[in-house]
Amino acid sequence: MHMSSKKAVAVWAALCTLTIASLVLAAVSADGPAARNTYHGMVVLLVLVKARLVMTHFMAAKDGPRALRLTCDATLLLMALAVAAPYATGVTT
Amino acid sequence: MAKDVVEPVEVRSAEAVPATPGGWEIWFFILGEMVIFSVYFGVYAYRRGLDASAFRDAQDELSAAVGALNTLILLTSSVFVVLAMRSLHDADRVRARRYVVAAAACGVAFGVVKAFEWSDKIAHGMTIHSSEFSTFYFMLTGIHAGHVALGLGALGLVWSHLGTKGGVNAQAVESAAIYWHLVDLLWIVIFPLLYLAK
Repeated sequence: MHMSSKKAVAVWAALCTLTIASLVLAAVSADGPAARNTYHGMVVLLVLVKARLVMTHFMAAKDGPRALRLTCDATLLLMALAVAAPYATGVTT
Repeated sequence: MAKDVVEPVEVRSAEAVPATPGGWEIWFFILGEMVIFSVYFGVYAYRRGLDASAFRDAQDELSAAVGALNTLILLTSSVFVVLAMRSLHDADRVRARRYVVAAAACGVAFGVVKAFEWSDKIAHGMTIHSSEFSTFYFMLTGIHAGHVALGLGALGLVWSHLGTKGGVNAQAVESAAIYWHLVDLLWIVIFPLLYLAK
């Protein structure tokens, strides 16, 4: 787990940009159930991208064996499903 | 009499399978933590669905800007930990220790912002019992703050270890680094869940 300094800063910049993007999206998204669900979907997607960036690059899962990478992805998917399922099934609007 | 035919067997050397960064033990712990937090998040999302408008009203009490600030602080601490690992790889212990201090300072800053936020909410009447959302808010952020405190302890041990003479226990240092990134990763989910998804 010895990423180059330049790459580490590039990943950090991407993560910060995505964080600010989710904040801006929250401010500009319209009110109402349909718009809220669209926004929530985008937020879950952004979270998934950010969490995978951290796991792959910062935690260096990409340097590990294939089984580790697959388990990491499966765990992230479980986390995303746990957050998104109530929205997808219409429990939350 | 037919001769026995020996099929060639693929021989894989130990180098063929990459080593698990930090060792498998830390990943067992990390992935277990993530599964436990997934359950917390799932329960929160489900309970929110049962009374979305009440949750939305309570969420309006939180400042998304403060949550975003804390996210940026933790992301910065994570990059300092990566840079510390890089310096260690380059056999520059002094620089590695400086980066560890910078990462820990960010962790402390996160705690200070969180403490101010909590005290402000409590001063405005938002306690752990005031609503279902506030229970989740204090529980999730409280458990996460506990993880931050544990991570700060781990960074302190790494800083101390790097200051001693002799060899470096690379696996222990990598494990501490991976744990600190978990603290960051969990906040990446908690922040939008509590502050943004209304």
